[in-house]
Amino acid sequence: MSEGFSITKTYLKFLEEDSEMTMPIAAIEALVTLLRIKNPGTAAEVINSIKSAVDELVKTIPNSVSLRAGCDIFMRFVLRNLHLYGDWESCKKHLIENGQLFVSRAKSSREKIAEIGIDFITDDDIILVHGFSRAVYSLLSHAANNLIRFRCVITETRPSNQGEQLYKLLAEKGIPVTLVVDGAVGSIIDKVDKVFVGAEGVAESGGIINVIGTYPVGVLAHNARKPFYVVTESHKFVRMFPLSSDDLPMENKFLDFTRRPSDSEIKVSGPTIDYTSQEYITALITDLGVLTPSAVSEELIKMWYD
Amino acid sequence: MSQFSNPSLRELNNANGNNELNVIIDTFIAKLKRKQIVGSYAIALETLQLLKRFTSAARWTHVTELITQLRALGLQLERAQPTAFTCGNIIRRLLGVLRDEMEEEAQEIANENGMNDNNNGNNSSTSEPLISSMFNLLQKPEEVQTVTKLLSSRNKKTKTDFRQIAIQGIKDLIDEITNIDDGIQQIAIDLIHDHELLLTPTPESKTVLKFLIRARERAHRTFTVLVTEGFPNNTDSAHEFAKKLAQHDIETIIIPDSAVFALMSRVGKVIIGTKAVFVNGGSIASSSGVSTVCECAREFKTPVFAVAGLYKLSPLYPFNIEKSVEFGGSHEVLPRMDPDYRLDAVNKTTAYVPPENIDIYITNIGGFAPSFIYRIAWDNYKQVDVHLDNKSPLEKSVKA
Amino acid sequence: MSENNTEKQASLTPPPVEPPKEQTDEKNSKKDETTPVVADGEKKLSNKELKELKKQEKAAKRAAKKQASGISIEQQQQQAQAKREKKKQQQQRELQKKEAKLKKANNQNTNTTQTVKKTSLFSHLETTEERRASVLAITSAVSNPKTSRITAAGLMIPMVASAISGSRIYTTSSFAKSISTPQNGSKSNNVTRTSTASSSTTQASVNVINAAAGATTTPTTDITSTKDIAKTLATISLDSDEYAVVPGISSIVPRTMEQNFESQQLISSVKELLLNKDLIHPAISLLTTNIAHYKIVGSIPRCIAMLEAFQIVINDYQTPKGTTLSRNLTNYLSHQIDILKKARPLSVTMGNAIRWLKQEISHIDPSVSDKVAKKELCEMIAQFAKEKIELADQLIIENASHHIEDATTIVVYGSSKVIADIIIHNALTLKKNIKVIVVDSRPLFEGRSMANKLRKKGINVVYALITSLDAVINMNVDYVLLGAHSILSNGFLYSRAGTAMIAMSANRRNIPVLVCCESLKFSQRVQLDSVTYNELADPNDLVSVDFKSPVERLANEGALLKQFIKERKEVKKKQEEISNKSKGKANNNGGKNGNKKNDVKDVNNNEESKNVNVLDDWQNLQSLNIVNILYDLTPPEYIKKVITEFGSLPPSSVPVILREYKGSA
Repeated sequence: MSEGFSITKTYLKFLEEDSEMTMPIAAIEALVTLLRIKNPGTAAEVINSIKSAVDELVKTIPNSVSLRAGCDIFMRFVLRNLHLYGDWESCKKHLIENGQLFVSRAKSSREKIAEIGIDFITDDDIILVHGFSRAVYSLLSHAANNLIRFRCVITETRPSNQGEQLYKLLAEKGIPVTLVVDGAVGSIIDKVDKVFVGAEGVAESGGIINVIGTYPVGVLAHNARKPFYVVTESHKFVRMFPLSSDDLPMENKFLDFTRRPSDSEIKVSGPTIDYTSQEYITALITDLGVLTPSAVSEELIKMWYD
Repeated sequence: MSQFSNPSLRELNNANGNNELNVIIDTFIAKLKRKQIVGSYAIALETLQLLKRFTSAARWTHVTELITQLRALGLQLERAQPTAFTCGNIIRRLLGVLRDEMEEEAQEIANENGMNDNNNGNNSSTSEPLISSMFNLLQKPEEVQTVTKLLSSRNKKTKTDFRQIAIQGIKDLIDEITNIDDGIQQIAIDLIHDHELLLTPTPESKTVLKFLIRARERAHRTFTVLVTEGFPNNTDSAHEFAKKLAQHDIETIIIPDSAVFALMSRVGKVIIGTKAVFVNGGSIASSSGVSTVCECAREFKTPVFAVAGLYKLSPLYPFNIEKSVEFGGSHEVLPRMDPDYRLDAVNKTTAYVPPENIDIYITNIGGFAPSFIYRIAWDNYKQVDVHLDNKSPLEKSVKA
Repeated sequence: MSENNTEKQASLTPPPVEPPKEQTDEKNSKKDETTPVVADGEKKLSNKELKELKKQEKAAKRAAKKQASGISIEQQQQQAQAKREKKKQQQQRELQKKEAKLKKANNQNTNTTQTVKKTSLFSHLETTEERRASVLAITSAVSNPKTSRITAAGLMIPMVASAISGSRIYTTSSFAKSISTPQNGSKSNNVTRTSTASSSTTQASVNVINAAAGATTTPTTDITSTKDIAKTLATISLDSDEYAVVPGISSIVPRTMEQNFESQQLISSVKELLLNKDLIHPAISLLTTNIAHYKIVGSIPRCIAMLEAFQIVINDYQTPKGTTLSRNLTNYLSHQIDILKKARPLSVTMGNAIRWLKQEISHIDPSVSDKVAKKELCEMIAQFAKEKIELADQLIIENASHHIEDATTIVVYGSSKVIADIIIHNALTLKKNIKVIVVDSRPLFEGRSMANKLRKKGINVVYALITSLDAVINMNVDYVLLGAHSILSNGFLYSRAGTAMIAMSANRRNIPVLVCCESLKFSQRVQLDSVTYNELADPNDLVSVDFKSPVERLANEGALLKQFIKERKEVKKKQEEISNKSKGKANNNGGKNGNKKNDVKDVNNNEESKNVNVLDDWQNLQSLNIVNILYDLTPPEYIKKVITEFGSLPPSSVPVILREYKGSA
């Protein structure tokens, strides 16, 4: 059924065009485009085309949990409309016409998060940040705009070096920042007041999936009795329940001991995302409010278990 | 001078010829500011009295106006004494009741007008649209139209009906508050067995006192109660508490605050009364040493259970604990000080207990784990009422 | 009830109680009345009568067959037993009545509840009341040197005059009638003296307890002739445990405390103390009072005070004939220590010091003259104190100072000399910027003196009570410095109650906890929790809700004197009004509470006036108890480091030090 329409390409195009767009939104947009182009008539066709598109996307884009989140939401929405109300036509029309609306809503959700989360930051705080999340950044910059004087400690977040990105942005804003290696978190955790991380996906248990290194930071924060906050938009809630980092879908195998003679330099291998279970998380700051991990799981349960 | 009331509310009342109402509100606010009313129970009942008069005297044409006025009133009261959480809770409960009624009405109208169920489907799919608004992302913009249509068409329910509903709601609340003990005791009794050693660090909680006495008299459990003194703020009430228990033939032992860790290994359960319970499962107690006692209990894996009436449950999240914890006068701690060598003295009067230190909350509607308290909160309050100073979307859409 | 009877002016109308007691009441009252009259007369007759008595007694001793008198004595015992049982039953009945009606207890129940006042948790520990009772019994004991002599062979028993009885008060007026004894004379002296005495050491009495032979009631009433008395007395041997009798000594114990003498162990220990009463050096009695009144607090100060007192004692010591210094001095000191134990249980430092001292004494060369030996001993004691305490403290200060950087916030609890010195040294000499948070607790308020001391040196101090601990420990604290009473062999820290809470809170927040402790404080004991072994302080310290430390409260108040005066006035009133007042409040008020407002001499009408403190009548409520423990046990997991004069060690290494330095530790 492919007439030169590649869901993956569309998806990547969306991401390229708009740097502010997050992956789930891009996925939804791509799927909407798919519907527009394909224009299936019956309910069965709809479901099938969406399913196959989602599969393709997931296969081609590696390590994308939030992508799945977006696809899951879209799928769920469509299914629900079909099952409960049978009114697919108007729904489809609405989706096709209002593609932009979703994007703007998603962006505004980050502002909402910043509004809600600003109460967590007080003067004289030392905040530890791991990984680069736009939601976290918008929260911190909003706080800085409101003249709250805090300091940031950013971890390098190797191997992706996301920390440097965030460092530059925060330094531009005039927030006092310092960059530390990932391993230094254990020594400095006693000196920080709270920890903020973003999330690529929020699992059904209330735990989060995020860039590698989040889990150790969570454990250290828990040990030092420091609050560990997750800042994320609500459309990142994904229908997964991993028991540990092993359960995550990943490209790189854990502990790959094979050595290829073609490798000239020593390459770092291992997982790129990890899972932090809900007992290490104090609260999730989302555009729907401040939620405890159990509240998240309740909502996810309600959404999926119908 | 409009130091006390919100200017618009005051004007509104003045315009409506409700000077009396202003006076009442002002008196209450003054009392709150000067801490002349103490204790969640007393504050709750007084607030309800005030609300009764307010709803009967206030003038409004549409129920949304009433809601706005109530919100303004709630904001004033909250600002008067931010740590009197029950005040805000009561107002939010009432607002919740009113909004529920409104929604029901809206549904009926929608059904009558034959609008597509689809429009309202997403809204009513969950009890309290907390996260079901996950679908908000994909929702149709027709949503807003529904509301405006609702407002434009005259309500089926007249103003009087809403007033009745409001007053009925208040009456129900008063009933509930005065009768929390029964519900609590029924559940809590089962958690205590015979010959147990209990520890109570919150002696000024009437709920705990009644519960212990009831356990002894009705259920005939024999147990021993350790009461900590809570020096310097609560010692008198601690001694009174212990005396009352002893008079009811319960074996009571008064211990100084420093002995808690020493005796914790022998304690079977810790029972605390609370002043307010937050949506994350943490709570504020009105005696000062309570959080240390709960930490000790954690170390020994001793169960801690907190008793609280539903009216103490607050939809707020404790962002900044330091703001909600009160400090008292340092003369309580250090009565005489050499003026040449001055010291700083710290005197905390309340304590915040984080949710990980509490095992279970016993309320009059049942026992709940701290991680589930948020659900009870959202059952009784509306998300939109949490921040009383924000404009509600209804107001926004009215103006739009 | 017999306990209601006052010394001389007994109530003419005894309270409505069971008949046998009434009888004795009346008899007692009669005796009471006659005592003052006879007292003077007795004095004049005493010497003559004494000689006669001596002869008769010796004869009686030989003559009296145990069996003959034994039966009668056994009968007496049985009767006493029966009486006690009846009394218990009565009490039970009344308790039930009380439960049903929930009335306030009358005196009978007061006394009953007194016996119940040990909590289930700590009933294995000695209470302050017991200790006080012993001290009182001893300090107020008077012996007539003419009647008894302490010889190497033991006491000569010319006459049994008094004893500490288990439950009854009797005067020796039974004797007074028939015999004039020097004891009565001295007793009367005693009695008159008590009404005017106000010094804190010889505390005033409330009652004079004198029991006739056998510590029972009936025999005294029957005996009218000296001969019979002598007979009964003769058969009583000192060693017999059945009789709580110490001849030649009359002693005074307040009736509030006599309930505590139910345990045989206590009676025999006090008996022993009374026997050796004359050996007690005044320095030791002074020390005992000071310690009992919390004037000297803390294990090191107590140890130093004790060593100083020992120096005085050793200087004054004269070796009795027939023995050497090295053998007898230890014994002599043991007697002193027995008394000292009654003030408060010995601290570990005191115990270690005593052990060392005894060892040193045994090493003294017998050939050396007494004078030289004594001088040497005093010097050695001074050397010991210097080494083990002063120098050790200096080394600890040095060691601890390494940890304290510039601009630190330190939390300390209570009062500890070493800690105070460390902080002062660092702040003043080493010029570091230190902020100290002093945490304090009821009822001793030791932290106040610490805070004042530090503040006077210009250090930045914040003062808080232990209930505000969670606020204080979140103030960016860098270290917690704790003092110790002792460190046990399994690494647990035995220190002031509240220390464990602080250590736990600090540990939870990853704040390091350092303990500063001289090696003198190391103990061989092991203990797992704070309940199995502890020290109980006076529960009445917790009754008044105020800021006074116990020293201020008890200081020179002459609590028992006040009580005595009060009770006398009550009795007067009683006589006047002939009504049955409840004496419960009066008994247990101890004059401490509410007297700040009234003058000391004012009549404290406790019956009519409101209780100033809520718990003034806590003894009346049967189910109410107050526990005031002084120490608690901190597990080694909470402690990061123990700093001693040998260096720093982890708490698990304490037994290593004990082994290596066994000689000195």
